[in-house]
Amino acid sequence: MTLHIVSQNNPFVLKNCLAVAGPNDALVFINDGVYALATHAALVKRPLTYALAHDITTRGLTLNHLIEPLSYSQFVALSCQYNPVQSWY
Amino acid sequence: MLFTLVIHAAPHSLLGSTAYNAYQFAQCLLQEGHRIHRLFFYGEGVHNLNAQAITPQGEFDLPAAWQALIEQYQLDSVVCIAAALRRGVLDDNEQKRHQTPQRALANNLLTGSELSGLGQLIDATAHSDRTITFA
Repeated sequence: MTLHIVSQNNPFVLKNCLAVAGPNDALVFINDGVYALATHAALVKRPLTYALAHDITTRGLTLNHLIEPLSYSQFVALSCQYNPVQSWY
Repeated sequence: MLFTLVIHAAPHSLLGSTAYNAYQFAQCLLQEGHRIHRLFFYGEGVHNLNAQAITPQGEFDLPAAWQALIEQYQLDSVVCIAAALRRGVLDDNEQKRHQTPQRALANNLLTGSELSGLGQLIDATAHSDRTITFA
């Protein structure tokens, strides 16, 4: 199962990522990628969707309770659990 | 687990830069007992190891933090040579090679890292359990 990392707020990149991501793949939103969660309601409901807690709070976004806020420790654990790890940019 | 991290982003905008994400990720995984096979700085990421970039007072100095992390854990840190030269990040060899009487150049690659080619990235990917790209 793949871990997809989305680090930019770019609709084309996100579209490509979602076209490839399977139902058992995990998505991690980091950096400006977390803005996508504010504008895509469907993403918030998707299972196995995570976002770096630090990057959400520094951008003044409110964490939706359906999104799993990630610490760096959990981010490291996910990248061990999944293989490969694919970054989208 | 053995990691290779590929850093594409410059450190200029701290919170907006995935270079800072990469640094925090590296720090965390090392603290948790995982290992880093290689850090590979590519494209704009070469600015992370520019000794001549001065961070404003009061801001987190990411290049200094990278250098300290590399030294503390004796990390293998490679900077893409082609990306570095075109962005003015030179080691001693390249500074001497390209310097002319009309053009004074600085040797400004932070110590602890080396300039090398993309072969080092391929090698690192082949020898690591995970390769994580921060773009």
